[in-house]
Amino acid sequence: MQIAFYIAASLSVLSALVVISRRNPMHSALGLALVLVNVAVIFVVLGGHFLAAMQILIYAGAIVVLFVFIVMLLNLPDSALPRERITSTKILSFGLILFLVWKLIQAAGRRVEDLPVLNDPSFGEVERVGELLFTDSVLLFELVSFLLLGAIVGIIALVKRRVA
Amino acid sequence: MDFLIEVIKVFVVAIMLLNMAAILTWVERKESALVQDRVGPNRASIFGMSLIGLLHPVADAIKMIMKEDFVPQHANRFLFKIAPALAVFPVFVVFAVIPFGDVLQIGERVIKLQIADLNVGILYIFALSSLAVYGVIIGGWASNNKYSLLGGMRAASQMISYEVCMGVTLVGLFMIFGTVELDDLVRYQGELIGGWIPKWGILVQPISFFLFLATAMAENKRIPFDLPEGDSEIVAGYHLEYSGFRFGMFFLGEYAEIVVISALVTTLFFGGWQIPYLYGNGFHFPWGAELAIVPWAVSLLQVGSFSIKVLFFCWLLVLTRWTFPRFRYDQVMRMGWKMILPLALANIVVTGIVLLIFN
Repeated sequence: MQIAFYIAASLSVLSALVVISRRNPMHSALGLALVLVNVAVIFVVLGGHFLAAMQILIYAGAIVVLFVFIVMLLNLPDSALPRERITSTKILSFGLILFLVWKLIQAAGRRVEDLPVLNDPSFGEVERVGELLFTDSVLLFELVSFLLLGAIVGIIALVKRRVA
Repeated sequence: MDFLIEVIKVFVVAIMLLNMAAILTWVERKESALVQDRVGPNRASIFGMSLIGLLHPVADAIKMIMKEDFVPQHANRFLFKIAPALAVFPVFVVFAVIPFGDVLQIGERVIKLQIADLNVGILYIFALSSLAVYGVIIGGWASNNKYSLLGGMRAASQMISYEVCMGVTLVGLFMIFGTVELDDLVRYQGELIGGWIPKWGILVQPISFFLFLATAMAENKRIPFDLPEGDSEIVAGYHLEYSGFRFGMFFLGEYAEIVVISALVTTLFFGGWQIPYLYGNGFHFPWGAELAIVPWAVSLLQVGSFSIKVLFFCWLLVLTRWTFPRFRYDQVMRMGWKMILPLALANIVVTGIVLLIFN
């Protein structure tokens, strides 16, 4: 299982590099799909089968497909793509990445086996996730659903205005 | 030894799936001939034996392997070449969680007739079949052809829309049986309602069955949902530029998907390997009669029952393809979002209310 983790982890880092380094948006989108699939493999290695299935179903199978759909719909030639420039957002995100790296170095000493959730045999099972959603996390769950509802209403409002 | 058994199971399932896909191409031709009052394929022969056209799939395979594997000049070579594999892979791995029998007992050893009994069960199938769209999209985009691109876009929008419906239609079934594991689903369908009627999915969730069948057909991208190919509108859509066995793989994937859909419908709604009143040691009829059968024969009967049901649905799906005309693009979208999805949601609400009243 360790080997599977290392393969999936290095593949996900490699495909993440593809996402940010390629100029062609299609390549980036497909790289993103590959990242998500590899992260799902890492979830499987850790025993979170439900999480892995959801990761692939929703992110790789739906959201990235929509990205790809939009890229195909616009089908921009290479000359129409904007030139890369260094903006304040990019500098800020670079700072955040440095912070993340620092956190990772801090966490490197800890072992996965020591994490409390992983010693729970029902971890990652469908029943357990469902139970958590309706007990401990019910407030968060409802809040997220409000957020999504807001997003949907926002999209409809935007589209309606365009049509009118 | 355990490992060896697992490997054998994987091989048997994979080979059966491949063979079924090949035979289905023959079924398709013969059935279309039947529908159109023709004789159908009867020419390919070895030493004068044509075996009612059964050699045509073999001739087809040889033809596709021998043909030139052509890549258009401005296509993205890597993605163009990898796309057919991406289209076929999800279809084949999905079969891993489908139980094709209960258990087979050889001596002391009990072999489960299912490759992988995952806790996430059907979610695994949804997850992987959601990846099937990539092969089609990438194939359509990498070909660098306008028709292919249109086909790929149609496939993306159609498959995303129907994936949502597909998941929602089955929720009612999971509410009744209380599990998403396919093995348990089949086991619960062996129970009897009132001691007489088998508790098959179609009896407890009839609406869900019809909606699921419709969405599964749409996912399969065949007539009446073959907009991504749409021969008369966009030539051949996403696989327009493909030739040789790369085209063959798209072709194979389509037929393997028919088998997978049939197996899924059987497992979810028609009791999988269950035969009514057949238990591990023989038949126990509700009117009191009993018929003892040795365990290995029971296993054989169960696998046979599963196969017959799957074959029936393969036949039904092929018949559908030769019966209906193609939908228009907006009709497919309207049906998915404005008819099937609300009906499926209503089905969940009604199921919930009924469960609340009876429990």
